[in-house]
Amino acid sequence: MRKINEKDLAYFLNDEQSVHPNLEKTKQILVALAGNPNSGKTSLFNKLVGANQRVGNWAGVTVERYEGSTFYQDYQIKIIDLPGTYSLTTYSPEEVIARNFIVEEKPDVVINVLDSTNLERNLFLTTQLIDIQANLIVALNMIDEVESQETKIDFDQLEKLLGIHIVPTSAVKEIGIEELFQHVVDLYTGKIEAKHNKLIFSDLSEYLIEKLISIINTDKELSEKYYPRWLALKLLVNDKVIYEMMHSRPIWIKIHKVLEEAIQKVGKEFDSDPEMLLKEERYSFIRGAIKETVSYKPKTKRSTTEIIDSLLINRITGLPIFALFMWGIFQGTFRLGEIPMTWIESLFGELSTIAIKFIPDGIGRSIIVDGVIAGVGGVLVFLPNIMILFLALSFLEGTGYMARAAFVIDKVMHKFGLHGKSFIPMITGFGCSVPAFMATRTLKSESDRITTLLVIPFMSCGAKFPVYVLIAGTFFDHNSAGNVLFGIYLLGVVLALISARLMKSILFKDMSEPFVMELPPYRMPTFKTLMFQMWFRASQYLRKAGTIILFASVLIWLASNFPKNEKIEIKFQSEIQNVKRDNLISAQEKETKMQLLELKKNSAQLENSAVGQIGKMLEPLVQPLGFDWKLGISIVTGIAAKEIIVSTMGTLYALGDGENNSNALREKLLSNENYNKSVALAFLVFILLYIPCFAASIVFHREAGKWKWTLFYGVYTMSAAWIMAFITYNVSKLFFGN
Amino acid sequence: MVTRLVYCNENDNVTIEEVVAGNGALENLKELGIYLQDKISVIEGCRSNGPIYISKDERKIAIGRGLAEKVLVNSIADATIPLSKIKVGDKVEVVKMNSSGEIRYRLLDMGLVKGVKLKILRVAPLGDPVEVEMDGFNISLRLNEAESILVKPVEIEKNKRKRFSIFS
Repeated sequence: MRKINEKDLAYFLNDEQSVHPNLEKTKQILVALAGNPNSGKTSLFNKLVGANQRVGNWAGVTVERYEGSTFYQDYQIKIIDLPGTYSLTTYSPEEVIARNFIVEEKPDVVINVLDSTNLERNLFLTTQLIDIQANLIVALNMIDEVESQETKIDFDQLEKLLGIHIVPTSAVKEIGIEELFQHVVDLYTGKIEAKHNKLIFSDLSEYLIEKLISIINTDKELSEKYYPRWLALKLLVNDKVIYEMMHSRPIWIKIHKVLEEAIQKVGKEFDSDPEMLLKEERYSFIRGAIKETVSYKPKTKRSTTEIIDSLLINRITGLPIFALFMWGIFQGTFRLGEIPMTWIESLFGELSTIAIKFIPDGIGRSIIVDGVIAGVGGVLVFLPNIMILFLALSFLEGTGYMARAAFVIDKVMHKFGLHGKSFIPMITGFGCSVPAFMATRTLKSESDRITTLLVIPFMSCGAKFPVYVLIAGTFFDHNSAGNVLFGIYLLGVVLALISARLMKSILFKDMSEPFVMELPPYRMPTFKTLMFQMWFRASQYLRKAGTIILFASVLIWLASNFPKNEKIEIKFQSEIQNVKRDNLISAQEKETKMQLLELKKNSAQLENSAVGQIGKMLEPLVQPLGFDWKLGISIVTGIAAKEIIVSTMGTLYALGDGENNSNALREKLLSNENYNKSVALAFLVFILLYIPCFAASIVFHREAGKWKWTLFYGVYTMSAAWIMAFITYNVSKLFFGN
Repeated sequence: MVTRLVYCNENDNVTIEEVVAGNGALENLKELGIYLQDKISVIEGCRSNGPIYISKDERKIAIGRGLAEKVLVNSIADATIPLSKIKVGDKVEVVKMNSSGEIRYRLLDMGLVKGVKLKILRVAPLGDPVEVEMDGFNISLRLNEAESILVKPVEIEKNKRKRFSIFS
């Protein structure tokens, strides 16, 4: 994984070199942005580097890595936006990433972004950054909000107390950007001194810290690589990573003794433990610093956030408003998204017509038109959904409503082992699994995210709807067809919730995920940030998933068209020729007969193709469900895209896939003596539950990040589909008879 | 200090101070034979979810939970109560954190240390989680997470909350 990152980096630099040929002369400064979630770090990052940024993943985890670069004076300033954290312990992947980057990569400058309206909370991270002895600059962000609140901050005094350079900034009002760059450059060139202050704890803590430092100093290798005081502090707070690193070393015996002494002494004197004590001391230092430097104007009226909250999440209107927002997102994503989707579809339709005009008939044309053009269209068609959904999601995230949405619905979701934030990805699943899988990124904890990803396939996606309509409408009368449809959707939801519960208690048994989260003040996200978020998702989808989807769809097209059986071709061609030569029938009759033969030929070819053969091979597997090989093939092609299921049936019954053929298809299905209500129900259940389309599966793999999960996802959906269809078939046989 | 009857310890001797509800509630109390400024002692039930038993002049009286929540008393004893039992609007101070594992670290990192003042802002529409304010910083906690945070009441919300107010 590491290698890929470096390659990425090299590519990134090359990119820059082509734009700025003088790069050899300029020096690069590596800057890391660290800060709490909701501190306006992302907005500031966008302001600092503009569009010149790229997003990737941190090695091995699905946490996004934003990096960008810009030029200031003679320097190329490369900025890494570390994940937002409240602390630098090791309890979440975000924290580990942020910490490792600062400790291991040793960036030239670390900019700690603070929400100035909430210094007490934000300075906690600052004290930990001081411990690491990073070259720190504090950006007092959102300074405009502080000023409008008439709070006064004594910058000089705060700078003195913390021993760090402070720059007041505001990403929204564009305050302090220039100064921030100047500080970075000055700190790098040594024009201003990097102050390495340290936080002084209580006598007991200092005694313990000193004792540990003197032991650590005897280990040269360790004390040269890491700052000993930081190690000492981390040992006292029981840090697992540091513990693992140290306990195989010879000095561990001595360290262990001191740690035992620490637990004993702190327990005796403070009725606490070292970890709690240090945290409390940090906070009392922060409180002292704030008392000395910040003068708050007493609040006279309710803040805007309080007023909005009392409207949006109170006990009576909270749920209806939540439902309204969710409905809005869903409708926006899929109804509004439909418009550009039809444009994309018609554009690619045009392209095919043009291609057909210019390329002579044959396999080559078929590959380009039905394979490549249709494939690219199939990738792009998801773009409107993804863009609208992520615009809405980043708006909710940016304003602060996302956390409230989780707050409102969490009780229900928690009952099934899910998180309040699982709700949005799950309802998005009713539209399409592709954006739904991508939306799980709002979930921070691994177990919540994986569980949500795994149950989304059971939320019946929009592309399955035509299949339901066809099958239910064919085998059930007008009244009960609606009930069957409803039942299918309900079954999906119930199974999703039960599965979530099971997975949480079996797969993630030992993980207790804290729900506690900040409900940040309402803010208006900057337009730029929204656009970036939206564009990043779209480009990520295109680059990472799109290429594979395209490749796969060409492959699937090949599999359903090849191998061509020459005998079938010749047989039908000769029959068509016979009809053509037949002078006894009218021209119109001739035409219909020829068309019918053409369709029969296609049907026979599909049956003979790789997909058809697979479908036939699978017959013994689907026979217990009451399916024949025709349904088997439909299921196989459905893996390419659920939309194809109905048209495959059309082809198999030699009907073509035109709209007016759906009645004919119904008749064919009804007249087939193998099919009855039980088979129809089992087929519906199978379609509902089995593996989502290929595009979705690829996106799943991208989001889940591990082959283990993708494999589990495939096996789980397939076996759930088979088992439930088997039960449905056998139970409904009791009701409907054979 | 003035606290809610439901926040008291067993065996506390307290004085009935106020009833923060309509006159009906006061009438109900009177029917039970309890008047303002009465001296009573708490027997049991404060940490349960059921009624609260008190004794007044050697007489044992049960007060329904809903009513007892609205009865404010004057008590000299300090009580420690799980945060999950605190009513909306009340201010409390963190005394001890019994939570363990990841939640403990998360709470500590967010500033929930001993001595911090909290205020319950609201309960989610479905009754769980709750929103808690600490120095202008709002967090949401599930009730089972709030249960292991022990607090002592500092200030009781005395405004009679209108039941059907849109602004809760």
